[in-house]
Amino acid sequence: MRIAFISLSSCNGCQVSFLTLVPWLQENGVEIVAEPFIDGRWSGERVDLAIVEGSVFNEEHVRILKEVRRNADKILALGTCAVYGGIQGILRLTLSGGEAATDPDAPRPVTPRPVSEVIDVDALLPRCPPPHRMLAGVIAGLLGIGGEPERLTGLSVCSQCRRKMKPIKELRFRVDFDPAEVDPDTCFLSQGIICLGPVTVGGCGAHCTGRIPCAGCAGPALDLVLMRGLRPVDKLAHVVSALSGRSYEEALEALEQALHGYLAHTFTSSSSLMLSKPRARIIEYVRR
Amino acid sequence: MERVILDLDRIEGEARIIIDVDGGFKARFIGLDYRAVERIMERQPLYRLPLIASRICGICFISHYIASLKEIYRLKGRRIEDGEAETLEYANTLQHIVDNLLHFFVMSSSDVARLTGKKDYVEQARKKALKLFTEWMMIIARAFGDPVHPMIGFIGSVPSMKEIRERTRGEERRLARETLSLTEEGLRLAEEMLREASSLYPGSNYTYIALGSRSLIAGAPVNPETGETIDPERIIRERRAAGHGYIRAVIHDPPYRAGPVSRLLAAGALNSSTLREYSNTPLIYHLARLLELRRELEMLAEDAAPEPGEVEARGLVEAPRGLLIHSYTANGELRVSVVTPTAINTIAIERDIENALNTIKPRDKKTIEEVAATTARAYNPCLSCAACLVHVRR
Ligand code: SF4
Ligand code: SF4
Ligand code: SF4
Repeated sequence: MRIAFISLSSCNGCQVSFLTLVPWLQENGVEIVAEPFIDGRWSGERVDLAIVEGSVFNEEHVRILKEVRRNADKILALGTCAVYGGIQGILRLTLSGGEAATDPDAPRPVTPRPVSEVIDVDALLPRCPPPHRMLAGVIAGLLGIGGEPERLTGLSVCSQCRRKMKPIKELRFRVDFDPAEVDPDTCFLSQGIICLGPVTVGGCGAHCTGRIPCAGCAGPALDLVLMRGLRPVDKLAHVVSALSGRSYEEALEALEQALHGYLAHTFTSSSSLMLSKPRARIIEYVRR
Repeated sequence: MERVILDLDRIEGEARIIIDVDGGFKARFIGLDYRAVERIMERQPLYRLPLIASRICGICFISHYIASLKEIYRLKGRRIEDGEAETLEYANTLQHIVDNLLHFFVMSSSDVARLTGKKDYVEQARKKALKLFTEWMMIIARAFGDPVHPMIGFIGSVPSMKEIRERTRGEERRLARETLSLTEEGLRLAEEMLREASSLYPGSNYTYIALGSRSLIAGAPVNPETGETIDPERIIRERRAAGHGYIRAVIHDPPYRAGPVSRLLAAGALNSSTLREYSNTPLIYHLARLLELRRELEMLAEDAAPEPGEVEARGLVEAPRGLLIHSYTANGELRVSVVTPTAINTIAIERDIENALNTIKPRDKKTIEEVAATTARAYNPCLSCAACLVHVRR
């Protein structure tokens, strides 16, 4: 069983998460033929599984991905960058690659986009990065070395959050907050502070929301992926409507005054799926 | 004129070294990737800035998180309480431990093996280090919720050391003792490298720069050789966008050197004459990194939490690679400037590549590449960090 790890435009955090699994993989007889921190770049050897982190920024990334598709039986797009373009996706919205000041000795920029918009991939595992146990389960599932690929989760970050949702009295929302004025046990949304927990796929452990609202780093919740027309703010409006007893339209209006679209898509802004939602071919293995 | 182009591996992010051979050697160290992180941060609510800042880098995420958080304390006019400072110092210490382990024993293992000739020994050390690295990452996860991009806290909600100790249950004491014996092996290898190769990899003159304290989060930038304080705003102004791909390199004469060597000079644990004895070689970075690692492990092994003392609210920390600056202004619109240690070190890296090549005078492409890569890697450059931040035409 042979694995290669390939890194594109990224923070390398998914790779660091993968690195913590290397001793375990080797004990299970998996050969790591290329891992950029350990033994340098992949040089095109045939592998059973290629794991790709990061998003596409330049011509070299496109070339590597095509080579990976030719030489890997399976490809896992790992992390929110690979699946939805990550924070750097803003480049797709605010400047085309050609506008970026480039160096004649660097590869030419292309339109920034997620891995899955350049090649077909076999599995997508968003989150920033995915918890290492979840990643271990997915790799084991893809290699058939124990564990089972688990099903797509419909749960959102709220399912793991310890704050209690309470009735909303007033339809006034803000995106920033003063920690001194917040009740530590009550849901941010219930206190009029926008939190992306309801529109973000679960599984991260909601470890931010004890202190700050969710910023959506894990990528969109399943219903947003599957429903072409549903935007994050639409779903938040449903939640707010239920908590306030006011109409969906009123809730939507109040939310839209505070939540600029970009703030709901900070980690997904170069994803065609999120920009126009035309794609349904999503395979994800998630450990509940 | 002949040109050698090397895409550097075993570093974080993507870098290219371009070497022009024309009698002597001329090197350029450029970043290939661009992630616009300053621009992204400028559009966000303040509470998200540390979280996004940590996504600049998947290995020194804690250092970026803390620099960003400290700068938000400044913007908000809040004091960093002693208990909070203690936790931030502890978190940054864990960050240094994992990075130092990874860099010397894993990412630099090919350089160490080549310069000491101890391939099998280095390979065994690499395997041990990877296991220990994994265990340290799990300590970060226990203490702060996740191994990569953990939640360190926000204004008023940084956990106390008492809470952290309950979560880690003192595991770091055992692990520190285990890691110490590998560190001693590493120190012997680093010393051997210096004896064998420092004359082949000479440095020149530098402006050393580090926070002038023994803490990794307190103090202001100084030149530890002269005692002169260096205004972080001056460093921000010294950045230039041209000539280094997507790195905005900090230009200063003589060039800055940030990182473990500068920190040891600032702490009085290394002196200028020792540096000169080894001809200011960049290879001394390996030794300095391991000396720091040993000090940090000894402290944790004795269950002594690092004590930073008074910490000013300002976006300055020592990241593993050196001084890291986050500077935000919020006059209506938020403006974000981030200066990373690799941007500070870029010119010194180029100069040292030239020094080594002009000393060794290799004739074949493979040796030119090896010498350049070994020199650059000694600095532990991080392109994930350095290449996020060049501003481009809007
Ligand atoms: S998904 Fe997150 S952790 Fe993974 S490479 Fe991208 S920014 Fe880093
Ligand atoms: S909206 Fe945010 S704070 Fe409220 S339950 Fe969901 S994740 Fe928690
Ligand atoms: S920002 Fe949201 S999705 Fe990301 S780790 Fe925090 S709680 Fe989870």
